[in-house]
Amino acid sequence: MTITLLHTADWQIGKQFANVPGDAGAALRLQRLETVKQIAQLAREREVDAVLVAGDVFDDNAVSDETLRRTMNALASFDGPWVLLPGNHDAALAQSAWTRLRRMGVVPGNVVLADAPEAISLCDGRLAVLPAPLQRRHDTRDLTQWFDGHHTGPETFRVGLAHGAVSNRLPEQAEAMNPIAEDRANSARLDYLALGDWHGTLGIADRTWYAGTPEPDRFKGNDPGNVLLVALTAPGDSPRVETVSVGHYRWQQEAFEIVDEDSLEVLDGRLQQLESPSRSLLRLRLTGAMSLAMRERLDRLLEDWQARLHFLDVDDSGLLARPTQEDIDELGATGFVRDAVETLQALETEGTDQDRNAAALALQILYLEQRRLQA
Amino acid sequence: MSGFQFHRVEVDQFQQFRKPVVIEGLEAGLNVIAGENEAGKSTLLRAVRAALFDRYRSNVGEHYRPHGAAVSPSVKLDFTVAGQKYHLEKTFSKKKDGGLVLQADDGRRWEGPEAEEYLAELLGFAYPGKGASRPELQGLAGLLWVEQGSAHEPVQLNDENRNQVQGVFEQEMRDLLGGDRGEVLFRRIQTLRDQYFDKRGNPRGDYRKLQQRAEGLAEKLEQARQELGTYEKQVDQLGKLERKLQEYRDDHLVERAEQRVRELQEVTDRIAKLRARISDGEKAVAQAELAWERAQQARETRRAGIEAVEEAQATLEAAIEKVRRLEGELGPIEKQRNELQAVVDTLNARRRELERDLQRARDAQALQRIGKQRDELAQRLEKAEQLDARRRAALAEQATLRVGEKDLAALQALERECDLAEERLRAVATRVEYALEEGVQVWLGDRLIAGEDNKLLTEETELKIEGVGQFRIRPGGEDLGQLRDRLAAQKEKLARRLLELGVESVAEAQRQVRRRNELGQEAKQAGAELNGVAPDGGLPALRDEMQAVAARVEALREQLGEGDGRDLDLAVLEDEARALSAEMATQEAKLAGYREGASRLQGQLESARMEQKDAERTLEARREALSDDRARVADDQLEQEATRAAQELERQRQALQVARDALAAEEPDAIAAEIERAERVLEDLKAEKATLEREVVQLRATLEALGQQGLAEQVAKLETEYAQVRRELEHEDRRARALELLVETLEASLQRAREAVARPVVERLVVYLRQLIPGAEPVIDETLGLVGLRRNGVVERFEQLSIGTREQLAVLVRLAYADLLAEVGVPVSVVLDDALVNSDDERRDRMKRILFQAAKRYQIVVLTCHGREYRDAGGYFVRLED
Repeated sequence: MTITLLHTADWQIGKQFANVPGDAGAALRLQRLETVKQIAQLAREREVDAVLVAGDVFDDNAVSDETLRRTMNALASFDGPWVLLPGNHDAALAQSAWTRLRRMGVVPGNVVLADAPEAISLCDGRLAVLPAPLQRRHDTRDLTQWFDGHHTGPETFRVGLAHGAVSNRLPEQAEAMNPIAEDRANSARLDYLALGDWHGTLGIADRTWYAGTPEPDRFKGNDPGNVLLVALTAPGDSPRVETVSVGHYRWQQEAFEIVDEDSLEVLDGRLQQLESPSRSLLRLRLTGAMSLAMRERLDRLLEDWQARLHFLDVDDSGLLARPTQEDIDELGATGFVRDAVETLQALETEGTDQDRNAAALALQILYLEQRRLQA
Repeated sequence: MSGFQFHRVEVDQFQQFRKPVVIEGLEAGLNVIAGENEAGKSTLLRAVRAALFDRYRSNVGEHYRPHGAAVSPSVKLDFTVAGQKYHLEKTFSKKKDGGLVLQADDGRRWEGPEAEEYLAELLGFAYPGKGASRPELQGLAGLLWVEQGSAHEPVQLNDENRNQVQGVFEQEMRDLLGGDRGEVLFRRIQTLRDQYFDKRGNPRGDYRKLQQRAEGLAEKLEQARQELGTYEKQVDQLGKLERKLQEYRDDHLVERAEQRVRELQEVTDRIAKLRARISDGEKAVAQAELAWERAQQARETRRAGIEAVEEAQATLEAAIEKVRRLEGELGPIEKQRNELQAVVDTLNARRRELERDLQRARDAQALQRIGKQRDELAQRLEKAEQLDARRRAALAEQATLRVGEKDLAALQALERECDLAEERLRAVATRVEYALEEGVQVWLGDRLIAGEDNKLLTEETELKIEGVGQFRIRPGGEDLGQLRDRLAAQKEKLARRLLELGVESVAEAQRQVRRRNELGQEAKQAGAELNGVAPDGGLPALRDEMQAVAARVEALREQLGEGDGRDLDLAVLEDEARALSAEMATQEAKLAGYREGASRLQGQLESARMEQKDAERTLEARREALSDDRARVADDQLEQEATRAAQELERQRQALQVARDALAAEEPDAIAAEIERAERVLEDLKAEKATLEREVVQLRATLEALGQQGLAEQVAKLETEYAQVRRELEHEDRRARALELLVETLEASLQRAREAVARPVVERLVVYLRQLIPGAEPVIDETLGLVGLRRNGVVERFEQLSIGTREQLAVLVRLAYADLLAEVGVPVSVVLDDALVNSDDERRDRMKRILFQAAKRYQIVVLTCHGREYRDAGGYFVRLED
């Protein structure tokens, strides 16, 4: 008899987006709860046997009571078992989101708070979920160790639930804390090891998967925005894992070099190609050099796109605006003004970074004001 | 040599010049016109200006006319402009005589207004609408000709002047300054920058507010982070405490400690029981000891009772024996005593007899002696009676004699008084000495006197001589009468006294006194003799003694009675009495010895009998007591009780020792310490656990309260807000920096442009300035005015310089202008009217050198009242005389 699990992780409810100001950031925050609702909806539609959340349900143990309540409410669509695992963001400390939830008495009957390393029996005993909750923010021990020594009946599916870094498998920048042995699934005779912490969806070892965060939250393109549907056919068999996209917002990064007069049209074209721009967050890094007149046009173009995208972050620190002879002619600068322009130009090429930036902006301002006077 | 050069000046009827004054021979270079004050230097310059710049018909001409002069003021000038020589004659008058004639040496000639217009065009000046010409209307002359007293003022270029000067480098100028548009742009940029910074360069307005917001948020964020940090630390602390508490539970620390205490408690209970047993045992031993002592005591008491009875028995027997012995001793002694008593009684009777006889014998002897004594006494008494009678007779006769010794003395004194008074009378009386012949009868007084003799007359006396008559003699002397009276009184007194004493004369009185004394002597002698016979008590005592002795004799006679005891021999009797006394003493001493022995034995017997009685009573009492005791408890019963008590005592002692040994085996001291330790451990553990629990409860409560606030969300929210403000601020910072840079750059460029505009003037000026003030640079503004000097990098404004330096610089800047103009062929000349009056010698020398150099390019005319100082100027020198 097949058992289907929905594996997700790293909801980080309550997360704030400091680098996305204003309404755009607020919307991102609210979306995380909406996505959880989507997951509940999905679980109901696909009639899964259980939903396993592999840690970092909350962004912090000290989120508000309201956030805790809203999260519980968001689970309502699916009335099957939910297993929520504490992660490094919401570790099962003496005082934690979990203790608070219990105290508030808002945990629905079908929701299991897996804040103790004790096997959870589900599906009338056919499924044993072995959780490895973090009981401090960072642990140097492998908390999944105990899985190996835990015995279950032969007809019971053994599924591990943990939050941390699988040793030797993740890219180097991943945290070295909260280690998980790479062959834990084998050593503990697990049918599946559901992991959290890594925000991209990733099958990292035999029967060992990171679900990734269901709602992307950064400009890192490591395939976030999914949940995993895991079908266990028989104990000992390999699971079937299906990736289902549930993320709402798309976080993208673009690098673009201005090479000539036509570059602006090219850039505009590239932006046109973005799918559902209103759900897109774009980090645009511009490089190259341009005239003052062109820079003025670029600014207008970017302002236009800022309004069309959910969020546009432009990094123009690598972009140089150079007054061309034409710019200067257009300025009609004579006498001391011309002298000043030449001074600023010299500074823009030879000065320190700060001077260069200031000089470029100064030229830009001078150019705009001159144009304004002429108008 | 180009420009504008004067050759000759002639002035007539012009202000102070009522006679024509001519200055001629002026050279192309430096000219010095010297004159005293009031000599008319300035008038001369005014005249030249008037000749060139005032209309001849102008009202001003009347000011030039000397007071009351009929002839109109006139000026004649010879000068060259741009190589053309001219002769000018102008007469100031509105009348016919006024006029102007200008004659060029090429033959051209102008008159009147036409000449005026030509001149204005030639020299580039304008006529004033009214009044006298002013420097600003006079073109370059207005700039380059310096009036007396204004030399130190800043050099002002009017627009025309400046245009003329700037005209020299017009194109360059236009290039340098950006024109009006540049200025407007600059102002616009400044306005933009001023939105960010105030005049002191501090951020202002929205920019400042944004900064403050960022600071405020940063602070809030820091605070929120700290709170969150504290919260998280407390969470960790709670975890730690809970784990510790769990350890307490898991290790059953408290329970184990309690178990230990319980175990020790049991041992302690045992020890307590043992202690109670020991205490009871000690009491039992004490009681047994007491009982034993009591039994012992009872037994001893009984034994003592028996012994006492025995002892009393013995004492009684001894007493009876003693009485018996003493009674045996007393019998013989009493018998001997009685015998001796009889002897003594006999002796006593004999002694009484003997004593009677002895008395009688002594009485008889006494009677014999007293009879003799009575006889002697009777003789003495008879003699004493005779003597006493003799003495009394003498005393009786003496009593009949009345004159005493004293009376006699008084009589004798009276007699002497009489004699004395008689003598005196005789001494005073008249002596009548006479020797009468025989036969003559003469009476003196009533007495017939004869023979030879003398008579003393004490009173009137009649001398009668027979046949002759009578003589009355009256004795002189004062109070012969008185003397005679006193003598009579004395004789009377004596007579009376004699009468009183019963004697006829003093001699008889003397005889009576002698007799009295003889009788006193007689009585005295008889008394003395009587005293010898009856020395004590006199005659009466003798009579009494006589009577007493007689009575005694009578008494003795009566006592002796008939036998007068002459038969008894006293001495025999006395010997016998002495022998009897000795016998008696012996016997009596003996008797006393027996008496004493008997009485002593009697006493002893008495007390022995008492002792016997006491012993009998004691024995009786003891026997009774003992038999009473025995009636209560028999002797052998007492013995048994004592033995039983001794056994009981021994048994209790052994039981006590057993208990003590048991207690020692439990080591009570060690157990006490151990239980104290265990209890303290338990208490500590409980207290620690309670503290832990309390802390856990408190922390949990604190954290629950904090947790509701969603600290992490607050921090994240603040971070977001802060990040946004930071971004805005960075944007504004960039813009502010850019505007600042822009303004600075524009200012610097403008400054450079201005410096460039002034450069031609500066370049000319520098040449002179270096000679005058080494190291100083001129500062010229874009209007080409001299603003100040820069020395050692510091700019000193023109107005701040000394007046001397100011007038020197004013000359130099004019020379620079003149140089510039001269270079492009503008006709210039420089006139300085006492322009260097405030310069010291050294500066003046330098100025003279500079003027000389400049004068190589155009004509310079120096008017001065210090002619001597300019003798060595090097140019043409002319002195203006009155």
